Amino acid sequence: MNGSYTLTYSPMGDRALLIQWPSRIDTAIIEDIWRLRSALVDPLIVDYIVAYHSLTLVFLAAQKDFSPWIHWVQERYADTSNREKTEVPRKEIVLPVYYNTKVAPDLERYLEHKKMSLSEMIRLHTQPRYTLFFYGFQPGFMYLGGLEAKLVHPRKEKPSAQVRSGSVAIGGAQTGIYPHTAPGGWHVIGHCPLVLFDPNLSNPCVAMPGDLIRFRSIELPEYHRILEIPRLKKNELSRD
Amino acid sequence: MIEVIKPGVYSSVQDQGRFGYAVLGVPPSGALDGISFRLANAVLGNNSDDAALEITFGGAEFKFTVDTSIAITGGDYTASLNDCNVPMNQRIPVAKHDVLRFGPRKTGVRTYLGIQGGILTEKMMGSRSFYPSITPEFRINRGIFIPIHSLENNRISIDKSIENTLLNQVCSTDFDQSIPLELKAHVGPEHSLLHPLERLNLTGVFTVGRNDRMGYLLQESVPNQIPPIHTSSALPGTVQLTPAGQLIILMNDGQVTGGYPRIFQLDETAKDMLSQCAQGQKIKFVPIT
Repeated sequence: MNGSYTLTYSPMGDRALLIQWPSRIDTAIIEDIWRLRSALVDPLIVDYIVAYHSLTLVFLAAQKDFSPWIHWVQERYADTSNREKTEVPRKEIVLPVYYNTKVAPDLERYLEHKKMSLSEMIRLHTQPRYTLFFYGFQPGFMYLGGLEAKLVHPRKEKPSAQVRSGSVAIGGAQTGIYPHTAPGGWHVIGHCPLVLFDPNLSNPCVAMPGDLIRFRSIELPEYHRILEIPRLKKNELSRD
Repeated sequence: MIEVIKPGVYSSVQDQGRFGYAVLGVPPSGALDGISFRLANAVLGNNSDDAALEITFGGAEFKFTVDTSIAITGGDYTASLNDCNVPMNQRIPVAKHDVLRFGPRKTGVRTYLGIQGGILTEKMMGSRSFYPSITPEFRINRGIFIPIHSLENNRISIDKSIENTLLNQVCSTDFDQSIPLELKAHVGPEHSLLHPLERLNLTGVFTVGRNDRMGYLLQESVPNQIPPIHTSSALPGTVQLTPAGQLIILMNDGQVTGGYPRIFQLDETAKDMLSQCAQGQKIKFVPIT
């Protein structure tokens, strides 16, 4: 079902055009967004912001009138729907996580609230192949879809002043990793020893939107071993 | 090089910004007051994307280790070179060992120090604009040396026409601080979800609260019943309204996605002018129809 949604167009000022899909979190919609995005290449578009049900085109300079652009997008969108849907093979990225109270300040309280054993939580958290919907909030912060319903837990009422980089956390129906130390309202349940955002690399992030993410539980010796690997070699580990 | 004797309250290197990486969650950054930034480069005959120093609330002091030329634009903090006052918006020749100092505030918040040929710190992901986690530093620190050309390596060709066009444009710090500053704003994607009374409440006068390169908070709240939205895009100049009624105006270091309804999108000139407003300044949104 590609290229067949009713899209709405709203300018955001005179430098950006917001394209919206029906307002829901849905892998079919995000796939449709990625497909249209790759068909919208123009030297006057300097940035694309992808979110759950929207694509925002950011332009190099102010546009007096967006109607020619809207017309262009509509044409491209019709093209994508006329074409046979081609299955893009998705990469699977595996991220090692050490689930332990020593590195996860909220783990104990989380398990208490959920009345769940650590091994059950690890099983549920490492089982799904999460879809990387988009990056936002911070450079390299993944919005992942697919958290097991039993693990859903409301965000903290008062955010922690500092969540360490690499912290694997659950907030509401979402799970993810903080790539940089920052204040945050999610419950930290583990730690990933990889570098998740490195501006020195041509691909600063370990995965691209559309990839599938899996978490793999590791024990202390492996956690320490990975922490000691030089920064640049580390991310080769994010494959099977 | 420029030796940083005093970094001031908050100073950073900024160019026009970092583009092409929003899909990875990277904000555009870049000079908050684009008008003043472009003027600094124009009076020096620089390229429009050459990097300048953005100095917040003055207090900075620099010593030059080479001959060069500078231009000071934006917020006026009584700049002096070797204790002699120097004018704004003009090319000023500087000699090796000269000391540039910023004094008491006259206007604005952010001063741009343009340098002949631009500042030469390392480009990260296509831009020199400082941003934590992307550039090695996110602010200028005391005692560091900022790399610049020495004038011998530079041919000066100043295009007077660009300079005059910019000077004739609205100056982003030239407003009466005692009356509400009118900010031109396009309606945002969620503006239509406001009730008429909520819309009316947004026509009032607001007071600038805490602010930084990520965003400006406004002090008055606007109670509202806007239904929650899924996380979507946010841009510099996007005005968000939280369920608790807080108005947030995102600036250049603000996050690229957000979960709050977007009520307005500031006109670019209005965003530049807002970046010259200090806490306590009264503002008013003027919708563009």
